[in-house]
Amino acid sequence: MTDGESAVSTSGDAVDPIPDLRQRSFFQRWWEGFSIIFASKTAMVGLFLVLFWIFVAIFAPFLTPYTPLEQDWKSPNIGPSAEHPLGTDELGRDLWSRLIYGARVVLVVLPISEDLWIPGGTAIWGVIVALVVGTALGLISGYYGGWIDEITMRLLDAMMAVPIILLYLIIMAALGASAINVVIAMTIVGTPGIARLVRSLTLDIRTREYIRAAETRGENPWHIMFIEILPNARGPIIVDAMLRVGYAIFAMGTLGFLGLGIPPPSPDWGSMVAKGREFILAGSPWAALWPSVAIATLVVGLNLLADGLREESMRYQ
Amino acid sequence: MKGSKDIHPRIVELFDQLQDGRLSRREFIRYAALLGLSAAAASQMIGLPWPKSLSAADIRRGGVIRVATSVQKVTHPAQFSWVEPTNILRQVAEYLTYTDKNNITHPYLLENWKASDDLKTWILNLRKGIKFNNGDEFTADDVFFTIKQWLNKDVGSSILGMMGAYLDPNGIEKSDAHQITLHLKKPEIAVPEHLFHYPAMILNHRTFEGDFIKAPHGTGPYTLDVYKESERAVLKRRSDYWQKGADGKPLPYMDGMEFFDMGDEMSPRIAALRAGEIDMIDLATTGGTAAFQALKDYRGVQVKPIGTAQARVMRMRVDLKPWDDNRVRMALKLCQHREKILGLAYFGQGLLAHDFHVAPVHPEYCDKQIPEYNPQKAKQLLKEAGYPNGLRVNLALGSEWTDVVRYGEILKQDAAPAGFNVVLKTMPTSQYWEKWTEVDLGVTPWTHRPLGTMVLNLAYVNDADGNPVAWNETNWADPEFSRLLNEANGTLDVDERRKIFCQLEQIQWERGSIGIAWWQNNWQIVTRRVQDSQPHPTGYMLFNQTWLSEG
Repeated sequence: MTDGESAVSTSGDAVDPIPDLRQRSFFQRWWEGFSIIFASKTAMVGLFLVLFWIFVAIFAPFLTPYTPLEQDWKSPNIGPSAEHPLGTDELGRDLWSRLIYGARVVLVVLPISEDLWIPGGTAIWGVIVALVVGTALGLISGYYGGWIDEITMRLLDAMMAVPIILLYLIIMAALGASAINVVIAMTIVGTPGIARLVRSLTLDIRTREYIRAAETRGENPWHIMFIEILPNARGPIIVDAMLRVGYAIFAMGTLGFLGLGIPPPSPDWGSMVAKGREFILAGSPWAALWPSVAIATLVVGLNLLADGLREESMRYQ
Repeated sequence: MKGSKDIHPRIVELFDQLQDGRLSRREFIRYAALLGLSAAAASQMIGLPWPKSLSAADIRRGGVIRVATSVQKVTHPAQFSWVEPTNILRQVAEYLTYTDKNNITHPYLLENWKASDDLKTWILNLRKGIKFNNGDEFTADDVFFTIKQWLNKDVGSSILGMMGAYLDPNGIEKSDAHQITLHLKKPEIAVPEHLFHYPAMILNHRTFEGDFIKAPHGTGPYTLDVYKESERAVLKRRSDYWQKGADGKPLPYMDGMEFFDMGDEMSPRIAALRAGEIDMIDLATTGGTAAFQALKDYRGVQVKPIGTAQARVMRMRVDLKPWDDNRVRMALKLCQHREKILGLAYFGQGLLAHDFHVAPVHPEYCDKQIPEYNPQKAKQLLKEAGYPNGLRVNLALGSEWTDVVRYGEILKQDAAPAGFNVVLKTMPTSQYWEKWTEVDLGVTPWTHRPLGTMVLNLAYVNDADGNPVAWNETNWADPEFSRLLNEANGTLDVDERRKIFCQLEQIQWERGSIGIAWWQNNWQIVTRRVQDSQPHPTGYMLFNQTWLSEG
């Protein structure tokens, strides 16, 4: 433990003297890590965009008088007005309400079935599950090396050789359209990249003295992998995960656009764009415009946040 | 009239009905044409002027029309399963009959046809003096050869499913050089309509060896110059075509036709039409709602609507729970807010429908009052059927048919008050076609057919062994319905047929297996310079008379 934490301090915040670390609580340390965001303007802009979408997603029911499914067959495809700030879609549903409820599915809730949902958005869960699987595979490969490494990495390389969008299409066409299947598809597609990253970090870290020390102490390999190596690799993994949430949102949009994402009438951004697209040339661009803007701002926000974090954390290295 | 030997005796009866006012003029022409009287002669009988062609001075010869379509791989015309390739090749090879936009069928490569009183023997008299574009003369041998191809199991033509039910290969007789006699196994009135089914192109028996592109010898007004899959097809005018134009010279007026494959996306085609880079978008199978929306008010573009019997059919498998209970089926049918569905799913471009598969454009259509949206009654029916707490059902939808998806979304919303929880299962359209007869609840697109009996025979009866026919996707068959339908199949008197159809429609509404909320309009979309082009309910391009104005 001792060696691990000192390593964190050198990579994270070199200014602090090492002894101080021990007296501070977990939250204090977490906050210190987090506060580097404030040092970067890029990260702040990103954070603002992301927090905006998280806020509207969480408080969606209080931000609109409509439900995302309520149809008004007398007023389809109208532009922004006092009643409907962003206009309505082809079935007369309020676009603002669909947009913010759509943000919920991305960031805040994962609909398992019609009536059951769990917290954590579809994109978030997709990244978390991929992260867990990819990290485990990467640690095992990197730490053990040898034929385990060869087999795992060649299999993952084979998966990476398949174009991502094709892999998504194959998986979704095989499994059928649902939020859970989107998570499964993201996991399968995201795992190889994460595993490669974690493996390369592991290869580096396992040569350090504190790993040798732990081995000499006789710690079992799992302890070394998850307690000694993983926490020291977290910086790049977090930045990578941040970017991956962005990719995941893109992937959700693409799948929805191709009719393979979360089935209608769920306010899925990708399928909103796909449906609205039919009306662009007919003179009602709103239904396609807003969800495109939403996807763009959220993904740009996440990328800025990740970039800012990386810049700041690299500064003292 | 009664003395004329060439006229089918039923025509005389029809004429009497017309004079009694029991038959409209359109119906008279239709049914007289069915029995072999040319539409022009029928028009003369009722004193209706046959629409005259334009005077020769107005018509400009020359020019090449450019059409956006999909240029698919084709080999044997009898195997066609999409309309687009037929729209290219129907300008090269032709059909024995043709069904016009009013669903009236006329002789075409036939001079006329004669049906026996029992409707079991059909004599087809071929037009004389027609030549294929390679110089061969068109004779009964070609027709004999082509019909044999349709009925050959190894060819695998969809015509076999239609004509195979009443015609065996040994029932085709070549009576003389320009006459074919068909001996049917059972009475059938739709023979002329079937002869215009899109794979029924007449082939040259001397040169055809299974691949039409290699030997593109037809009787049509154009010859095939280039056919490159997924790229383009180029047709050139031939100078010795058998039909004459208004100026007395052979048709066609245009020098050629060019077809461009512009992929599956509609927006580049719309943009190309707006820019004047193409003259027409072939909407035969792609569905025209997007193009209609984008171009309906666009200057320089003509959008010509036509009513059809084309529908999105919500079909329920009656051999699977819960749809084996008619009360559940009726409950879901009552949950259709038809006006809203037509307005939102199809932009109001069509007619409201009544859950039976007979459309107002069919001559035997019997008018019925459109049912109201009634969730209370639907809830009551569900309760009686044993689902007092509601029912969860999966609705299979092809996601590329955007109007079908809208239909599903509206149904989900409107069926909720009745207790239905409709879960929409969207899938790529190709995947839907893999299991369209298997899903318990789904929405299947059905294309237009000119006679009311045609779809009913295809989809709502059992075969001789008591199994559902191949396209009976709901496994529904009703003894009374089948008996009445058989009766209708052999009844020519329109009044009598309509009486039977009133009962058929009532049965299908009361205990049938389908919901149909609306009948779709189709559109022909061409630029202003395209003249004398008619929209067709099945999207066929019948362009012999079409010409291009300046600019």
